[in-house]
Amino acid sequence: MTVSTLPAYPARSARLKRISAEYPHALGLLLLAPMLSWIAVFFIFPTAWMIWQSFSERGLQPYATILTSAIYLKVLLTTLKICVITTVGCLILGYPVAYVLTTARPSTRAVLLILVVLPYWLDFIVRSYSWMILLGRHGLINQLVTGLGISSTSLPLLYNLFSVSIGMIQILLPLTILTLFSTMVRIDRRLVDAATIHGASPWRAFRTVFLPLSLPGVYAACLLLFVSALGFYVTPALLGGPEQTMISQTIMVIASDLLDWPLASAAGVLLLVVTTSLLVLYSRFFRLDRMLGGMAR
Amino acid sequence: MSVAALSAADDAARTSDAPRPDAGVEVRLERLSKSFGSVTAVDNVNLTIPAGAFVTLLGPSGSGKTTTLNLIAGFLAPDAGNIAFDGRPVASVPPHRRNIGMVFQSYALFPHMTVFDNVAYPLRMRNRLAREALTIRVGESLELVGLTKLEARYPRQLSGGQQQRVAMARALVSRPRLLLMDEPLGALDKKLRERLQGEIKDIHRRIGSTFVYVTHDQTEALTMSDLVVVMRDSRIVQVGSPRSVYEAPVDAFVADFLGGANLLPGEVMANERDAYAVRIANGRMISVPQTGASHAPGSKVLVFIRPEDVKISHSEEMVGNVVTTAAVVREVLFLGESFKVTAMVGPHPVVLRAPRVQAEGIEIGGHVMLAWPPERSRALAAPTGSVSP
Ligand SMILES: Nc1ncnc2c1ncn2[C@@H]1O[C@H](COP(=O)(O)OP(=O)(O)O)[C@@H](O)[C@H]1O
Ligand SMILES: [Mg+2]
Repeated sequence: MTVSTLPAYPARSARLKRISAEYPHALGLLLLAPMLSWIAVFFIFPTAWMIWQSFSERGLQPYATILTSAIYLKVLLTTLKICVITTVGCLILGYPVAYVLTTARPSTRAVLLILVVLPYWLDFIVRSYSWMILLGRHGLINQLVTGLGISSTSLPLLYNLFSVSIGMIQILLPLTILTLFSTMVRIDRRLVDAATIHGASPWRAFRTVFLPLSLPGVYAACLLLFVSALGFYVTPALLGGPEQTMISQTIMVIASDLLDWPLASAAGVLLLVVTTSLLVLYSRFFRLDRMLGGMAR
Repeated sequence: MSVAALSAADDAARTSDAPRPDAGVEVRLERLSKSFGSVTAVDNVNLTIPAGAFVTLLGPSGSGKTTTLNLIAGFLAPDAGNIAFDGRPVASVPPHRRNIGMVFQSYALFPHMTVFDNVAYPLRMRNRLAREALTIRVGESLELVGLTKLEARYPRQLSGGQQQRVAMARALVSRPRLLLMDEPLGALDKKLRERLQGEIKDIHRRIGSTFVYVTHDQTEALTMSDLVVVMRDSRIVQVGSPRSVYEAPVDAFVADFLGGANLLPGEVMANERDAYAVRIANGRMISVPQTGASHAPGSKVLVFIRPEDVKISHSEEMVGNVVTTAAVVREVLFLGESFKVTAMVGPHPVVLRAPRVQAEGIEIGGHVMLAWPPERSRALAAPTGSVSP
């Protein structure tokens, strides 16, 4: 074996060299090939098919239907509203947790990180149902409230904006915390020390040094959260009322109940266009590459 | 100059050559200890840093220098002991109220601020200054460190040396009475390091604040300091002027750490008047002055002598008050202005510097005489057991 392969090696390496000189990207393409074919088969092809289908039967008519119909526009607005609430809620709740994580000792940090990620491994549906148990008309909270005599009637906690937002925030919180944390751990703590020793109180040191340096993480989290929230289906379906219908649910109804595939496709294309333009705008403003690749320093 | 004329009276005082008499703070460390889990980083440290002095904490990596500095800064709370500034305990004073300037090992410049904003930062936090006064003070501080016209740049657009100067300017801008520096030149190349050593020393003379300077580079400590504090394994092993720690080290570790030292093992045979009679490995009795720790007859010692104090000769005759011993040349290295000669006394090497004229005719394997003035040598306690110097 060894004897026979050894002499062949220089020749093979020479050939490889020649190939890689002629096609400088050959090796990279070869390594990317499995992933590219996966994306082609399961993402690009279906997307293209969806776009084609939205136009093929009735031309621009499905788009006109969506953009002129009050119902669809309302769903779109509701979706945007829920996404904004979820994003802001996640940031407000996640920022302090991520901050504490960066200041914790390594052993404590490991435990806290596991606690943060743990719910992520629980199924979406399980987590949504657990909120139903908590928030329902005869749920734990209402039993407590009526039992203690705080209120005589049960509170409307479920099937409204509140329950949808809380469910979505809970699901997206681990993502928020991890995104913020990954930026924050890269901030040199000595910078905060430098601020402190030169006269800044702990709060001012945080505000003038730590907070500005953590903003790239906040922007990255904003984008990630908003785009993820746009596509939510199960949570608003289980925890929301008719008023909280989001665009994914609507697309589902059009496709499976109305069986109007061109209309469903057009709604999907519109969602895709909104998401993509957000990404493009965002990367213009906040230099997405830098944000996701860490601070340029 | 119009700049100086515009600023307040004390600004004018500063630009004159003599520093204010109260420009520096006295720092006293009393029985200071700090541990991290099972690791003791600072162990029962006692030290008085005189007001206005340039004091260097010198020691190998891990000897507790940075921890000591962090305790003075207030970033860490001591497990035991006290720190006092001008006699006042500072235990309850948080770092931002200690009025300290600090240059960090990695400079710790704020990456999201320009040079101007970095330098202005302490003024904005500590002093309420009008815009013009602020601009003047920042300008003065940048001038002090020899850096102008770069105010609008960001730290990442500066060279290492420039970043170091910005860090100095930021630390000095609010005229702290105490300046802490943690290996501030560690990341720079040799030439630049030497130049900045001179500049930092010059700044110290001009402003008169107390400087506490951490380094593991003995040349830096010797050239810059009024007082050298040698640390090892979380403790202070010797405090003294650069000359005294260099010429009269208390033990083999200090002797070796402060520069090439010859340490010849020997045994104290007698204790006569001001000198020990020590027998070294080749059987010769030599005279070593009695200073520092005392050694009983019969105890093992290391005879310490600096390479530059040892002379070499081919013949027996050596005049004056010198101790002499025979040796065999093992190695001769050409260094440019001189030769580095290693000669064996019994099984032990003695290193010395021979000027070019003296080195004529010295050959490897040749028999030579070594001589040194006895007052330049010291008898140091030989490390016991397996502890190596
Ligand atoms: N934050 C810390 N946690 C644990 N151990 C530390 C910490 N800081 C310093 N040490 C330990 O304390 C000792 C002294 O460290 P340090 O003061 O940084 O030394 P030096 O600055 O002289 O190199 C070392 O053994 C180091 O490992
Ligand atoms: Mg250190």
